Amino acid sequence: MPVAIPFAIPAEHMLNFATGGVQRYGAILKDTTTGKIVGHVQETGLLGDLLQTGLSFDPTGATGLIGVVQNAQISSKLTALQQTVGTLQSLQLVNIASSVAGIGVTAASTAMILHRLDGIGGQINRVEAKMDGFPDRLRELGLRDVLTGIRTTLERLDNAANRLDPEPVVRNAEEKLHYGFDKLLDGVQAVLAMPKVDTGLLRSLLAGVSLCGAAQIKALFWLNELAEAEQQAKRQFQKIEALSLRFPQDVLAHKLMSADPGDAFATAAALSDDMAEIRARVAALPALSNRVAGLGVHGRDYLERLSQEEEQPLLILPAH
Amino acid sequence: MTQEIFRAEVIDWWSAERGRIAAELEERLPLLLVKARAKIEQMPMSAYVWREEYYRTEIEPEAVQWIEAEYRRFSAGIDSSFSAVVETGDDRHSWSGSDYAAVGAAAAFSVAPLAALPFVGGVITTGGLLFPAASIAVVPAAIVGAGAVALGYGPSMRSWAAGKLQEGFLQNVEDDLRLRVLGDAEQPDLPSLKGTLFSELDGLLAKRLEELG
Repeated sequence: MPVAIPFAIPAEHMLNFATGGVQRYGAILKDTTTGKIVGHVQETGLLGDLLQTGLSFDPTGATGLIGVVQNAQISSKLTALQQTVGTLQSLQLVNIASSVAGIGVTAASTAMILHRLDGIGGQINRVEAKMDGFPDRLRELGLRDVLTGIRTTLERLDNAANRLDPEPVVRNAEEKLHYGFDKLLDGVQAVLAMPKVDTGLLRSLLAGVSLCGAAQIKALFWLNELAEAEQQAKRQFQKIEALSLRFPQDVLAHKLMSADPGDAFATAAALSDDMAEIRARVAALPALSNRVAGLGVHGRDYLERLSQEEEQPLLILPAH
Repeated sequence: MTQEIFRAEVIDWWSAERGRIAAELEERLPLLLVKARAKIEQMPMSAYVWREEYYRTEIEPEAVQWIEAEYRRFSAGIDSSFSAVVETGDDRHSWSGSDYAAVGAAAAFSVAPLAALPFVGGVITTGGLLFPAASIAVVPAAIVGAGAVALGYGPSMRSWAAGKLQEGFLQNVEDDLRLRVLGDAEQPDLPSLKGTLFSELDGLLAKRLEELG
């Protein structure tokens, strides 16, 4: 019999949140006085369902990752969503919902992730079609092939449940997603090394890094490899940390000066915010993996519970 | 909390502070340049003979005062924001008051005498930019234009020449002040206000990350 998961609903934390007693940082709620984790914010399949019908990927990348959702159709859905769940706006629900990077272990459907990957592919096409095209370093990475590989992997992952022996498929997929994460991260570094940084491509690749990393952790949860999920999340964080230390906000601004001197600082601040959000979400995954393992919950049951949730777009897993 | 979350938080702080300082210094540098321009516009023509002396007595004190004030202002901001990041009260990772004083922002920002800071004392004359071969013989010739040929021209020509001289001096002073405040990305070893603040931010980040392990 599956172990019960002691999820709470966000509304239970709203008073504390409203009074400043707790704050969201990435995928955790933390006590502002003690700094301790109060709970893990976990998205559910319902959030994905709500977004899927109206989701459109912004080709400029400006709202494609974490920025405020500007698409009127989505905004109206979220407005309705906020009304149903109370005062979640203070939890920055709009920002959370606009991302498919995953709050907690991602509950985004394969269709949604593939949709986002198409958007990243579109960005690559756009840059390649420009007069100066791709620099050699970026071309050598073969990002289009990488995206194709990730797409194939995700489709195989999605169909794994239909197989008599799905585990080898999922293990293989997890390995390929690991590779995809690293290659897309190389792509981010290559874009940042370009004389003129293309911010749309950069944001798309960051989204891709986030998607691959999230899908890899999800595969490990499916395999119930929770200790490995914890370690892998730590390794993902280390790689993102190394990138962050190379490109703080002022360095990004300096790099953007040649492409867009007027808005270089504002654009750099927005990019830094994206990176910070990804950092924060990945940073929370080791603790979440550890918490789920500590509860004795099977990783697959955890994923099932999230996908079957029909009332709450977000759940809170108490830290203790 | 796990160390990854603490590490993420301090990197957020560090990156945002570096961005803030870079942006604000760009915004605020013109305030210093306006002061320098005003001094140069008041500069009597005779002072061009001893431009270095005029710079030292009239412009340098204003520049030092402005840079010191900016340094104090930024330091206070860094001190305050860093405190907010590290004083989270976690059992393993909070910095006690004494730890903070020993290795944290207080030591970095309150103890260091301003005069010892590399961008405060002295005039940076990299490559002779600010005072290139100024001499009694050169300056009058410059004022009248291109030397003997120009000597026959009247006051308008002298005024034009004086204007060019003032413009050139102003440009040199502005370049020098810009370098002292913003530094040069291509020459990171040159001391500057921004470079010093960045070094201190980097030091605090390194200490915090080392502590977190």
